[in-house]
Amino acid sequence: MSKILIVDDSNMLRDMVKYALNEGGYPDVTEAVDGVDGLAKAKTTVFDLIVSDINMPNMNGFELIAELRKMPTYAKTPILTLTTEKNDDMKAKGKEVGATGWIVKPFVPEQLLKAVGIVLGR
Amino acid sequence: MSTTQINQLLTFKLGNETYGIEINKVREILTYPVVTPIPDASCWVKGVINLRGEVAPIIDLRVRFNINTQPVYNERTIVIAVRTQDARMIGLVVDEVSDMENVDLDKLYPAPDMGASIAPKYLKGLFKKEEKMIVILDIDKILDKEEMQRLSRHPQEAASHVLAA
Amino acid sequence: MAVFDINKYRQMFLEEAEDIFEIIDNILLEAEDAGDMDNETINSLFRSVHTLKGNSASVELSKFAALAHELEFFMDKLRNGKLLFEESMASLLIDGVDTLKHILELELSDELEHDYFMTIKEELLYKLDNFSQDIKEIELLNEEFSVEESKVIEVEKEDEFLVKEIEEVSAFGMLFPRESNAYGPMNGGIMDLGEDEGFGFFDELELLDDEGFGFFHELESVDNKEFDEGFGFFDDTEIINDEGFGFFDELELVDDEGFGFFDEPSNIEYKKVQAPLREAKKEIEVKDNEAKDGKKFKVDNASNSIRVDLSKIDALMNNIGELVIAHSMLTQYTFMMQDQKIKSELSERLDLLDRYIRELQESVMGVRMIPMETVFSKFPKVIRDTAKKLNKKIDFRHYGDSVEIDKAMIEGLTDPLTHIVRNAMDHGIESIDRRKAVGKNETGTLIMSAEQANGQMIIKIQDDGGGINLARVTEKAIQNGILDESQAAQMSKDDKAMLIFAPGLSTAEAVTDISGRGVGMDVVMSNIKKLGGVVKVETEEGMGSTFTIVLPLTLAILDGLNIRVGEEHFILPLSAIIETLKPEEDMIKQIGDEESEVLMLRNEFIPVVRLHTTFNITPENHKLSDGLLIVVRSGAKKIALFVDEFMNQQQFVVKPLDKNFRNAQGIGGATVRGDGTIGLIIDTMNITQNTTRRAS
Repeated sequence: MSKILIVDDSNMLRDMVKYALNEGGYPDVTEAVDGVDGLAKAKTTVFDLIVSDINMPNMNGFELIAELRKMPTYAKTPILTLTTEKNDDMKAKGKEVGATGWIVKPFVPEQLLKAVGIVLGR
Repeated sequence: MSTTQINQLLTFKLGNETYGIEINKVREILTYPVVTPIPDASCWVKGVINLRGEVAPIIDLRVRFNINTQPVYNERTIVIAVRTQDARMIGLVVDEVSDMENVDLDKLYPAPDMGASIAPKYLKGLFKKEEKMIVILDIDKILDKEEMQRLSRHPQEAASHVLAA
Repeated sequence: MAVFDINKYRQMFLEEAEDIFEIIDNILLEAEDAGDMDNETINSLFRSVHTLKGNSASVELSKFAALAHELEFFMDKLRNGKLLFEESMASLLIDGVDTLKHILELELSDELEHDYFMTIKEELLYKLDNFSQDIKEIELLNEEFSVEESKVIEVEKEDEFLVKEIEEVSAFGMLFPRESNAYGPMNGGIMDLGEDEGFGFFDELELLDDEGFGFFHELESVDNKEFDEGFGFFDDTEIINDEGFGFFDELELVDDEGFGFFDEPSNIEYKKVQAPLREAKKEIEVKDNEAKDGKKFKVDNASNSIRVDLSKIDALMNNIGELVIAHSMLTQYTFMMQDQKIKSELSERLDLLDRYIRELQESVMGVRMIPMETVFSKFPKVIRDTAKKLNKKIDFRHYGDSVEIDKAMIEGLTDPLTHIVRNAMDHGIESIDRRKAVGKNETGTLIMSAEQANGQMIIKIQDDGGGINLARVTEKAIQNGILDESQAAQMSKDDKAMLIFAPGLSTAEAVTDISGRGVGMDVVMSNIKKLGGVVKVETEEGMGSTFTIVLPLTLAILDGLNIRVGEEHFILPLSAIIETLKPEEDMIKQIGDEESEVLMLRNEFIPVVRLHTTFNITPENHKLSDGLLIVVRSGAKKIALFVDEFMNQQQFVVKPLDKNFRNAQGIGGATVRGDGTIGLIIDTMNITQNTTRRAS
């Protein structure tokens, strides 16, 4: 069963993502409130997918992804960024730090599940 | 999906009548515990107990609805712990717990205006099964916070207390 | 199919939005005061508004999101240095944020008319655009930008229409047409917009086949396509971007699935169109971003905290309570053990366990404590708005920001504090003219402070206004039948000041919409009492008033004394106890009828309250000299409680009773005792009032 980590500073958005994932057949979802928390959780559990916000306090999504990619465990793990920022900078930066893809907020569950399904090979 | 609403009821007795409440409201069934009386409270409020860390009042439905005003409390007295819609935990003293019943809530008979010990506004309706008749209680109405406060209000409560301060 | 429970998420959004608004308000208020805003602050402002926009759109508050977008767009210019901060901007932005709150309220209650919204938005845009004029001058320096700017204007014109259309088409107000403005021009112009929407897939073909376009606009995808084309935002090949997600060309994915927009030859076509414009600027922008990120990291480092629902902490406290009970049951069990060696070893370990449990309890209590700053930070905005309405000048200061308070107390505290503050500004602090006339500084001072002393929390609200007109308050109280002339004649100055907490009293000649018709000060009193506290007021005519609120440090743990009355046990809060004594017969005096007894203690007459009478219990002792008296404090008064026995002193975890009942006279709360039963905690305040009433 796929283990998924959601990193977002908004309680509401975490809940939405988690709900969509649970409904879509991914019950094993862990939440982290920012990059620092996400990194700590990623170190103690091996996740199959990470969905991270970009705009977060303490450690933003890009910094988190960069850190994760340094870890052998997460070298190839799919990481989707969840963001309102959909400009080139975001993508360039996302690509640069090694994100797998992006999901634009606001999202509908189907979009998220589609993207997640693709990266998890469902 | 069908639109009928099948619910499980926990049935119990108050005097000679059988009553039911929806099982999803019920948290626990326990024997009469050590109850701490609340000074000056209404006669149907037996006091409070510790229920899973919460302070839960114990209400004797028999006294509340004048079914038995002089009940005896012993180790055979049954308390049904229910959780109200607004998340309060309350213990209800009943005579005996009977059975579980499946009930189609859409097929209830309306509560009669007269005859039952409990006023229709506290009932969800009547359910007939073979010879038996089960009165289904609307537990959220009976245990409604304002309703309970209204019934147990002391006249002094409303008085001004500014000068005493 | 999963569908979001919008109401639930709107509630969550509201909770988060409230915090964010507070942050924004305080940033702007500070900027207004300082007349300046540094880069870090601007960034933090931008991010806050950005979060509001993104999250509100997620809960289908499209108009709110559209308006937030306008503010974000403006702040983005500030952030990028395309616009320089001016003093007058702060005030404009504060108004803008107020408008945002207003729109939020209307949209949530479904009372927002489209026309009204458009008017509001136009007004805001007009004001914001006044500043934007300046930008163009800056931009003219850069030919490239100025060209793009002209394109942007074109887009803006269609804006209203777009917002409207989108709202109708999609349940989610997904697209922000001006999003393109926010990012588009700076990143390479309108040609980019399609891609900027976040659609650029690496597995274009597959997705196209699979889904076509239109996850965003499932229902009306065709319309959307036309609509997109109509404005030339997306070219045909890009419509697949409506998926709303995309992939960077990632290792396996590229090989397996043909993802990989940036590298795949099949995508060259798409890239060609935009590359020349984009590539050049990307470099600069990315660098810029890095610099910003660096700062961001620093700014937010200070608050490494998470948000925890109070009910979770309560649940934790409950669990600890159960642990305490289990522990005391084990201790009880050791008493029955025969083997002395095992018994003493077990006791030793149980003592250790007891210590751990206490430590655990303390840590959990610590989690509930938050700094007073959280409370104070709500006030600058309230004070600014109120001062503006009243046309008064106020200097607001607060002390004791780091003093900690029980989180559970804050909710009950905010309303009374706000009321006292508004009241002080409305009725206390004089108008500018009046202040000048009496030789005061035209700016009034309002000070809020918090401190901990003697295991209590003391909060003061002090103003340097005109003070309470005691003569007038007393007169009103007599008029309203609250007291008679002879009572008034005997009252001390402080007692008279306390009359403002009586229902229906207002001293202002003109009733204002700030503090109303005297409704509320009585509510202040009862709210503070609910928290187990007291409120006092001291006033000096012409000099100002000081409101002092004394609260227990926490609502959750109480040091108490076990007492026995007849067969019943109660808990008396130690904080209320002044002294305990075994009275001699000659210390007791009867006044009037036999019901009224007083204790004469060192020249003081203290009314005696027989707890067994109050609680209707059969006592062990009927004669006062056979039992014991506990002198307790209740507000400014003292009373002596008659009990049969004092027992042990102990800490209790307080649980509210009022969730179920409010009618228990003299009972303030409950606790779970060591044996698992409930103990009732006496509220000395209510007992005092009872007997005062009975005696009168």
